[in-house]
Amino acid sequence: MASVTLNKIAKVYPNGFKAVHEIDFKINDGEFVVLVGPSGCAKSTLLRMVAGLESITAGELVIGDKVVNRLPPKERGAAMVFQNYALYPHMKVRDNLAFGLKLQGLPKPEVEARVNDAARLLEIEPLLDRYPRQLSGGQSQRVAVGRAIVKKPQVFLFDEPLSNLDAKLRASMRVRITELHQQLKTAGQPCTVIYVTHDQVEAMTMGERICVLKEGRIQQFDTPSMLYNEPANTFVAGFIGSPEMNMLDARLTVSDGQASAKLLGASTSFSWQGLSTLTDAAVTLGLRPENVLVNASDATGVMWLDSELSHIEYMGSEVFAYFKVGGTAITSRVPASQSGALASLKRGDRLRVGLEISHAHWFDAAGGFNLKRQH
Amino acid sequence: MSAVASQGSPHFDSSVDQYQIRRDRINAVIRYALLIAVGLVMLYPLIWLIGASFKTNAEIFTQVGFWPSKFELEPYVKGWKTSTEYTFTRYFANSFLIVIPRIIVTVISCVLVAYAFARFDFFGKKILFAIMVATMMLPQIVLRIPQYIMFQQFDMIDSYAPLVLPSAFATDTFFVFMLVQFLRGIPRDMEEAAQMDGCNSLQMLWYIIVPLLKPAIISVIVFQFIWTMNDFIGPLIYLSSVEKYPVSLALKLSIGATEEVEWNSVIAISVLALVPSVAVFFAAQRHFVDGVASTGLKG
Repeated sequence: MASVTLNKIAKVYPNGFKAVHEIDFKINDGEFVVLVGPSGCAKSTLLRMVAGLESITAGELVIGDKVVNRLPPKERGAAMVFQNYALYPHMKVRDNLAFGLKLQGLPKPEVEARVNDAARLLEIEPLLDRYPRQLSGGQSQRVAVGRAIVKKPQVFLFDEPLSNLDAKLRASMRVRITELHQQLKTAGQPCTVIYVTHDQVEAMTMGERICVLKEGRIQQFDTPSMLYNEPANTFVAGFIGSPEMNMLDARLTVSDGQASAKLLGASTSFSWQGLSTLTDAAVTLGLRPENVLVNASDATGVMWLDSELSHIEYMGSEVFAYFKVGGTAITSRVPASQSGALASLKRGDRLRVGLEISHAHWFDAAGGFNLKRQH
Repeated sequence: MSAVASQGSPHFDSSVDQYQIRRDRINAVIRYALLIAVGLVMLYPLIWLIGASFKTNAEIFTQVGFWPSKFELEPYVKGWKTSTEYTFTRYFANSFLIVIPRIIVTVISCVLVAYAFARFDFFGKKILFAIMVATMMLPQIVLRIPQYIMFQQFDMIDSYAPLVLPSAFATDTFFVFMLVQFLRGIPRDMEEAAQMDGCNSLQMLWYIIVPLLKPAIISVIVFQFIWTMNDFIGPLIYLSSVEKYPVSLALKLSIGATEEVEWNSVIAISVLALVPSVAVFFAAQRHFVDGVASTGLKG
């Protein structure tokens, strides 16, 4: 029900450590945005600054059309779901949900109606008269979400809400939260969501847009498909996608829409869209594991190299194969149905692998930025 | 353990089981025998006291055993009446008139101060906390004279105010310390959630912190009850009229009043004087042990 705008938001701790470096972005009304990054990238700090639990050193935070820098949490119209749920242990689930509403001074029937609505939505009606210690992890998680929903906030803040759940439950809760966001939208109660996670799978599956952070700086803020297909730099390229993108040292020469690259002791040439002109520049070539072929094909633009198999992982529908070309490790990801000869191979066996250079991402070796994107 | 083991080779394991069970049993017997023996040694004075309270005055000094030859209720009746114009009903009532207000003001003041130390940042917090902890090391005797002079100037001598009032200012630093330690062990997430729910600091204290602190608060109540109930020197200094005496002073009164001390009556009243403290302890035992255990302090 409100957009969230961060204008050059910064956070400096009293000991002088700068955790957040002038962050700028706008989250649209009703959008689901995920903040993702490794530990220590300040994603939680950023969220807590939006919530009002952490002070803002510099910049301007706007929720709706109000600058809220100095407002206490309750006046910001945000509700938060915590990593370890933070349910009040001495209150029944019903009172946990109603607590914030009672503090607001809402009339009793209104409080009851809201609690019951939220309970129905989250299917926790049978749990209303239990204490938090009598709930399982998944149930506690739903109650924590319920406590946010009853307040009908302008903005939902999620701080790694699924990281304490087991893998299976996590996958199902992921779907539920995404569905919930859609449900509220169709019910005419759209809500803006900021969701923090360190799990790139969660980020990719849930976020309408994703903000990748590293050490308090935005690396890229884009849709999941853009992050995957056009990573802004080597960090984003390596962080998004599993198994990780192959990063190979190469030298690139570009002129007049034609490029030639030297890598792993071989060379190849291909057509190049883009403006830059380069001469034998040191670059990093990024290639997703699915663009490393193990079956000979007549596809054009594939660079075939001799390799040595070091390890195979069977994932069911897919096979991850790890090779060595010279001294460089290369990962390949093949659908199980096309794994062909892989099954019979042992460690140390030799095989020809094909690098689909036409799908490669090219990064500046020193700066790490994507050569084909504006920078 | 034996259930899992016996699945493998029942023949071998059953003999091991037998041996194990026997050894466990012998261990248990030795352990309990020792515990009971030590327990009895420690409880013997109390047992003797209860036994002696039913004896006649002569029997106390002539018989070695603690079992009275005849259960006399007379020491209790006589002791309760006392040689003064008031009965022990009055003295017990006096004790509660000191203990109950004191506990109330202690809990309120100590929780407030502990909350401030544990959860707020303010100028000089570390130094103030250090000073507060340092006062714990200060012997009470040192404070008696200045305190007495102060209360004299306030014209509060021979009232309960000097016994209750200091506690209203969180001077029982041991309790503050205990509550601070307990609070530090409670994660802040709940409070952050409450902040998001719109609590101000005092609402947070009342709705979130106090319920979570319950075991520690019960420990404070038990300690303060027992200590105040047993306090002798405080009432001795500040109270001068007999009608205001608490049990601890009245007990002393019944020793010195006549030439020949009726020991059996004194003992009988001593037993009764123990009852409230013991009752409070057992009533609160579950929470109390909880509180002491989770502060990492020994009572």
